[in-house]
Amino acid sequence: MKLVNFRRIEITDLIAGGLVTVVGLFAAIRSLASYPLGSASRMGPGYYPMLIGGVLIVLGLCIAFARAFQQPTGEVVDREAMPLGEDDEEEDIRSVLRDTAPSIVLVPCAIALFGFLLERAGLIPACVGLTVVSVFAASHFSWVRLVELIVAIPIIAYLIFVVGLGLPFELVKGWF
Amino acid sequence: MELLNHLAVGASVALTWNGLFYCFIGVTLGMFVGVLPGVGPLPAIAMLLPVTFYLDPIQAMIMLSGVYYGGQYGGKTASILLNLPGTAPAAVTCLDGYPMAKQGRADIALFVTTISSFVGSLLGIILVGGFAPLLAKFALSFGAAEYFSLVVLALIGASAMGGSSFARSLSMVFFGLLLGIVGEDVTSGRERFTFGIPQIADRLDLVAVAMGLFGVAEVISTARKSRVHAAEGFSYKVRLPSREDMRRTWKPTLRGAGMGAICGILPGAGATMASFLAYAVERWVSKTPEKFGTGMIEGVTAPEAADNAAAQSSFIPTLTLGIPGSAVMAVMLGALMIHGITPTPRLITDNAELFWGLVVSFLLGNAILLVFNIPMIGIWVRLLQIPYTILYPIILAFICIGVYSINSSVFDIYLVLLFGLMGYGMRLLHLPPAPLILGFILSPMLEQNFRRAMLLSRGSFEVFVERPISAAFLAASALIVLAVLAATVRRALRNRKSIRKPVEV
Repeated sequence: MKLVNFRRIEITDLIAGGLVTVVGLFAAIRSLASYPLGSASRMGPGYYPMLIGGVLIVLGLCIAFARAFQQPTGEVVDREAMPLGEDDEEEDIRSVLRDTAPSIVLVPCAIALFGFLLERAGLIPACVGLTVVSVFAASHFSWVRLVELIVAIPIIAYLIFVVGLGLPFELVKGWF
Repeated sequence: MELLNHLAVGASVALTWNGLFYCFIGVTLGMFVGVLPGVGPLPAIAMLLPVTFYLDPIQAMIMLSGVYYGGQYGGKTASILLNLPGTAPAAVTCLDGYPMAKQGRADIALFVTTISSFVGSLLGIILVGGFAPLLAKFALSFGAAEYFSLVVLALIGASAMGGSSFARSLSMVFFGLLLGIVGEDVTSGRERFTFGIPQIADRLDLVAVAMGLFGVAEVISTARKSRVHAAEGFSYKVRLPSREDMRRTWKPTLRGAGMGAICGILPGAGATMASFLAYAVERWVSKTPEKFGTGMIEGVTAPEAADNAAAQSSFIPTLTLGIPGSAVMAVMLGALMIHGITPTPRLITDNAELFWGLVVSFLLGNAILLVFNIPMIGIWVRLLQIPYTILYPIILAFICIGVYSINSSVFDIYLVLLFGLMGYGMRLLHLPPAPLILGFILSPMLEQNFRRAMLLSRGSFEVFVERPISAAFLAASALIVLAVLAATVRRALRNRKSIRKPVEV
């Protein structure tokens, strides 16, 4: 037998609230330590960020623990009756992570590769590199799509940015 | 007579070849991103920002705003045909639009919603032309205290209406405020939170932040979901709605347009809230509320009219006060500031060409959209067959090249990457990115007016409640906070009662 309506403190709440609190602490401490506060009438550069930091700390704690106070809730509550757009906390964070794992790795890699190649090898190699890496983030791979994109993306980029806007991109340059 | 003169000024800007061209590009692109589910107007506008650096500010604004209101037209297409909203405000159109499509009435639904959208837009534009100048005159008397309180109201309003939990939205507003002060402090010249990185000494780049949070984060979370879905059972011929359909359309359209136009002006309300509100009201006034959700024509026309009216009228606070009510408007404001224009109440008189040029271009753009959506709708429906797997590498390339082109700096590409990862993490934790952008844009304004008001009052916080207009804004903010808290407490109490009878699984 299991009781569904004792909801534990949500892990997403804890992480989200914790991160917000940490950012707030960082802002407040750094403002106090490194920037002059000034007075209320003549504020120094530290006054405003210190206030922001303080509010962030409070909000972070609210996010992390608010549910603990309005606790036991759960399935008895009619989800349909909740206001539209209410967070769907039931969505398991781990399953989302698992589903998107390839794109979490590949999309940033594609962007980083573009940044790495752009000034070293030129616009076209950078576009090709970005395309090759990023297509593998899709759920299935297709050679046709890869070739189409490798041809299309540099052409689109050339037409819009070099021809259309007249930006001085070097299309291909010597690496070595 | 005066209005005609203004419109003539606007026409002299908007009805030139350049004006027509950028308006056309803007609404076409808007329609495109609106039709496609998963690509919204905000990332599109952020992606276009670097391009607008090379245009004059009027052309830039004509194009960017075209993307926004064009997207509102396109958004309903996928709602009706596929039960997938193309844009956020169009989500509510699914409820009755998709049942209509299943009954073989998709073309009727698209037709009447286009008319409603057009009527809603017209009302919004009339309000922009008629009400904005009045509001600007009123706002001329605003001092630092009033501006501070108004920004507070806008930020609180946006957090309360955003859809996520209030604490989460508000925390993102404050995180945005914090990100907004990275760089040199204007008053003291001191660098704050720059960690000695020279590239961010002069503020974080709005384009990098917006593209990362909305563009890259979106690609990361949806790249795996292949979206190939041909719209079925839609005849590409357009039938005219019957007289009965038209009879049932005009009242909801006018009600929706009215509500939408008001929602657009209110800080934080915006198009999404307008369309949901309009739907709720239609169901409330209807004699047959139980039929909603089964393909009621009132349930598609009212939200679409509201959504478009709000999209147009939301330009009012942005252009007259410099205070955006939504993330899209915040980016729009950023675009103006990139061109060195800070909207103040004097914008309408000092920069009449820009303001009235925009108003005329709105009219023009909506006329183009009417053509796109009635005789040419078949072409757009076919766009739904473009899979996301083809689109996202193109989007990524566009983001990277675009952000690089602003300062010719590879650093900005890595900055986009960083904000993309952050945006993805925020999605996982249900932290909404839209309030962050709003806070980010408004932070300098908030700080400067705060400092100025406190300097003038010699350090007394009472200045914000002593001045009546400022006090009214703060009172409104406090009311919103109280309303949210009351709702939370009520829900908590209700839940507490409900635990008495545990359920077995």
